[in-house]
Amino acid sequence: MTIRALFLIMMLALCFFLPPGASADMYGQADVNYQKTNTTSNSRSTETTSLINSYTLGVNKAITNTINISADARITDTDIDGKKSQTMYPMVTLSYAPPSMYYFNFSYTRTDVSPSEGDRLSTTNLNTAFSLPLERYPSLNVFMNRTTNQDYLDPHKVDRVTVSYGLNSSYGLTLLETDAGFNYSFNNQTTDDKVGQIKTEVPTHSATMNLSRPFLDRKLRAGANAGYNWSEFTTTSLGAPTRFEQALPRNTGLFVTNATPLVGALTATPALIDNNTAVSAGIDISTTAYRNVGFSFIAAQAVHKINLYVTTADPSIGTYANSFGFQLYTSADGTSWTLAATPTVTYDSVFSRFVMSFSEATAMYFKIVNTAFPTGAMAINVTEIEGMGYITSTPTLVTKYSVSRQFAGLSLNYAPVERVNASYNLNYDHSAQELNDTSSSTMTQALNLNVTALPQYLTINGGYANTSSSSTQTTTTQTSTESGTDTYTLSLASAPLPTLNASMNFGHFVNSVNGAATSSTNNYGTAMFMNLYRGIDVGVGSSMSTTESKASNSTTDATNHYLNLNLTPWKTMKVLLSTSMADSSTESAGQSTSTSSRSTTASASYTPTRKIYLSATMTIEPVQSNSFVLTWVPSTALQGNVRYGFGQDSTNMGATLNWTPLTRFSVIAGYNRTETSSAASDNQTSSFYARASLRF
Amino acid sequence: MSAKFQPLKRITFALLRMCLLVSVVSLASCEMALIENQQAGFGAQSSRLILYAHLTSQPVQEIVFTIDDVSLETVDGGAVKVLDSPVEVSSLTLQAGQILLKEAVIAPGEYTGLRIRFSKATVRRSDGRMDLALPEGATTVIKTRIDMKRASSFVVSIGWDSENSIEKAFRFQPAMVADAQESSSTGLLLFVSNSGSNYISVIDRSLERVTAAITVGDKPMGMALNPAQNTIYVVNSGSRTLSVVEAAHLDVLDVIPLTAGIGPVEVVFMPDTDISLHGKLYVLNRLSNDVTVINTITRRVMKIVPVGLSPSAIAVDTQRREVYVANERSNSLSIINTVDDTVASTVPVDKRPSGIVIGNDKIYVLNEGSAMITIVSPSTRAIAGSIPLAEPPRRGMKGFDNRLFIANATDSITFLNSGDVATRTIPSGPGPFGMAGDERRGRVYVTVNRSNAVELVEPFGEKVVKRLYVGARPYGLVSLER
Repeated sequence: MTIRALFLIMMLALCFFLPPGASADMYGQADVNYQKTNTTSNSRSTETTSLINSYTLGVNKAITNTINISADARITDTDIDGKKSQTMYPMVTLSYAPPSMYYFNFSYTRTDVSPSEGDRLSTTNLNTAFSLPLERYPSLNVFMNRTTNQDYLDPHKVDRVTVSYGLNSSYGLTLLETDAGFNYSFNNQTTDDKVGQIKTEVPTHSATMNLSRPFLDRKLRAGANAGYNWSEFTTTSLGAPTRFEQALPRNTGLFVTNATPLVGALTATPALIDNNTAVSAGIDISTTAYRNVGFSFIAAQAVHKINLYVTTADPSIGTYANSFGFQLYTSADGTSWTLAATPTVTYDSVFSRFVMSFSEATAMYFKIVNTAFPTGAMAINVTEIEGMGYITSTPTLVTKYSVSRQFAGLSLNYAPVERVNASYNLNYDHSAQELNDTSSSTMTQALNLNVTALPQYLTINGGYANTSSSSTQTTTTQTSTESGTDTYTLSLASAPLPTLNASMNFGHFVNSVNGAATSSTNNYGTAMFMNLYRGIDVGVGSSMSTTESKASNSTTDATNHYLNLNLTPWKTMKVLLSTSMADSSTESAGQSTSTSSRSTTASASYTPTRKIYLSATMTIEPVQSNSFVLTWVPSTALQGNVRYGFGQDSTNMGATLNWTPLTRFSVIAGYNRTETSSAASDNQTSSFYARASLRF
Repeated sequence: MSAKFQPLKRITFALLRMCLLVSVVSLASCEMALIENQQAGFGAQSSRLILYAHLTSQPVQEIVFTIDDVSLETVDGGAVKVLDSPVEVSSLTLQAGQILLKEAVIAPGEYTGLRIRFSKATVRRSDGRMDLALPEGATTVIKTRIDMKRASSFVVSIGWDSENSIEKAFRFQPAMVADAQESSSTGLLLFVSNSGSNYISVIDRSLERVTAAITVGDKPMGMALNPAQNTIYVVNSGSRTLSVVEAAHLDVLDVIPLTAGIGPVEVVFMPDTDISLHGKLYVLNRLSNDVTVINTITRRVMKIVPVGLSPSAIAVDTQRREVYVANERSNSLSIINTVDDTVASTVPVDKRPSGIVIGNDKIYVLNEGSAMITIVSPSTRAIAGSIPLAEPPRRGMKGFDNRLFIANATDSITFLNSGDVATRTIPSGPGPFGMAGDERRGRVYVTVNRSNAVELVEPFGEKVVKRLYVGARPYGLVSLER
């Protein structure tokens, strides 16, 4: 028997046999969601289905008046077009909330997803938060969230940990009539992708300040704000593994003169490995053969090159590389030696050394033996010997950049008398990003004047706003762009009678780039509303606009007129008729184009009782279409909705049913069908969906 | 993490440990204090009756009466007192809209009717105000079935036919019916979250009165509609849960715990493209400066998306599949790509953005601190213009021939025409906030937070036409329309 079957049996048992009130601390729910959609396009059909079953069983217990613990487990089976997956979600939440004091919350959630295709995945979420929402004192919120995503494979394909923690603190006070507010926030988010070996960390600091103070007997109010945000993005990733050549750490320097190099121990000679290439170790190889010069490691290591440092006054040293007949011997015990190679020898005059290269050999003891010496050479003394090996290293790549933002603003509001209100705002915003070396600044300022010239008869509102932005990028070549908008608005409004009001407005808008205007628009509008008789309201209006675009060298004139008729013949019925006409003509490069559109719509709603609601919408222009909706509520447990619409080339219909036969059981079922046909295509889409929910 | 942040990291973790310690240590004393101060109120074992009165006829004369007492009649003939102080009711006051008589905590059970006792009734005549004789026993009984379930709310509105309430020109014989809570057509409903309480009010937009109430969690604030299921998701800021309310049956289907984020205030719903009944919820957490993403099938937190400081408003564009967040203290707008739930862009806006309205290829960001609207282009994710206003805007909505309606922080409503020019500002009740529209009925609904009401605004006439009283501190609105 599967876990979900057990869940369902328990649910049913608890639903039907648990007396009301007994389940105060326990809850359970079983949901079934089904959807089937058929799409036919030009006789080709596709079908998609989804079936989702969810079962929840949980407990919610108030341990004390302030401590609450809730825990539940949810299983979801998903089958979308035959692709199945199962997900389990255990969850525990502990919350502690003393009223008006502070708040503490701890929760742990674990999710296990088992898809039919793909890997099983586990997600855990641990969240803890503490909050001090104090008044008159600085508030404090501290929080931490840790999310892990891990599969069950070895090695993992997904193994990621995201940790976020931070604090917020705010303080507001009023001092000498000045309202001041301060806020500081710190947040640090770390993501550690252990598979990709990529770690990101983003600490963010934000601080803001607000000040506000009235002057002139509260007729003038001045405000200011400033803020600073700073984030640093650090990404640490591992590059491709690379082999590096390096001198291997030696244990002992060794030397002896021995003509039978296959046998015999060497004498410890520390001067050979003292990293001092300026001082001779007392071994002259210019006059004597079979000088055995070597070193040992603590353990066997692979060596592919030996550097033999020398000091000499002989100007011909560079020509002696092949005059020594160097041979390489290796040994595991320092006594019995094996001829490993006859190396290729070159002289490196920069470091005064003979470089002996050979196929990689692994041993604990290495020595080189000169089987000959150059004739007539001056003294050539050995100073140091080192063995070169390869190490494999994965370099760490670190990308780090910061993003900062500063903003500040000033506002003034002046109301010298009741009927006049003037306001001015100035805001500056600057952002900079280190990575692309970009910066941008925006300055906005706005002026608004509102005058009630004649109460009821004339109200005047005028406004001006300017926004200017500039951005600079200096990584490659310095580029700078400035853009701006200017907005002027003026409106006059009047309501001389309770049944009549009217307004006029004017607007002028200018867009500019690098100081030059790119386009400007003037618009004018009027609107009037009249309550002609009880239940008959009329609204009319028109607007005209002219837009000149310097960028496209064109001028566009547009007009729009509308009429709304709102009728309420009975209390249960509303009818709304609206019609509009819009015309537009554009002149560009001597060519003129024009467009025209008409729209006429009527909508009606009828509610004879609370149980029946009928609505209809008829669109006559631009494209004829009609839609009707009927909702019927035969009982408190049942509600049905039927929709039907048709147009020139399309038909749509649908129905929805909400049914609650039991307090603990509800069903929603719906059907939608849309058909569109034209000379080129013929499409139908129908979908059925249902959801049943059983709970206690 | 670089070395310079190590102290901050240590401080943050030390604070977390200290907070845990403080919580545990003060638990006992706090518990004791709470137990001592526990007040009898609405709890899991009680239910709430919300009693309203409305007119069923158009009054031509002013009748004023005083209700001394309202009791619920029990099945066994007993009575449960509802009203604790007299209430004066006037036909002219009711003409302006439904009034709230009493919100009372009642023992769960089945009740058979309302018994109303009057102490005085008068009528205004041409020669002045005249006292009316009271009905027999100064009492009237209205039979209706009131089923008060445990931990639930129930609305009863007394419908009064004032024109047929005077008998023989001298006796007050009230013609009253009780309109008990029941389902209306979902297409007519308007849901109001009452942030100072633990229930949401339901308004029938056709009747223009409160017809139901649904108990949810503590401090219900933001709401979002799942149109395919006709369900409303309600953020309970106090209890840190999401209530899933079924609109057809006015019932709470499910409660989703909010296991992440501090200070949840708002929510929006993004429907799934394949499974139309479900989708993702984006919950705005004002104090932890992030958005929690919740899958409606699994009911679990999927992701936490950090945004700016003190996020104040959230809006969704289902066509672009983007979510927009206004960050009040960062003066910015965060744009979240809902495909991968990451912040795709952050646009600096003006001072103290506190509202967002989605328009035709425009995002209107309402900046309360600078009395200005910043227009952001969703295509370029850059500022496309600004609109200066006379009053500081707080919340808004689009509709009625692409017009913009703004609820201002200075207790007023501003109307803009389709060209985005402000044409008029009218006074509203104190604290206008949430907005919703009904194009078929020509109504804009505005919650007036500080007067516990919803105002009905005529959008063409640009005037407040009615006020409906709801629960304490109404916050958000969701209108269902078919």
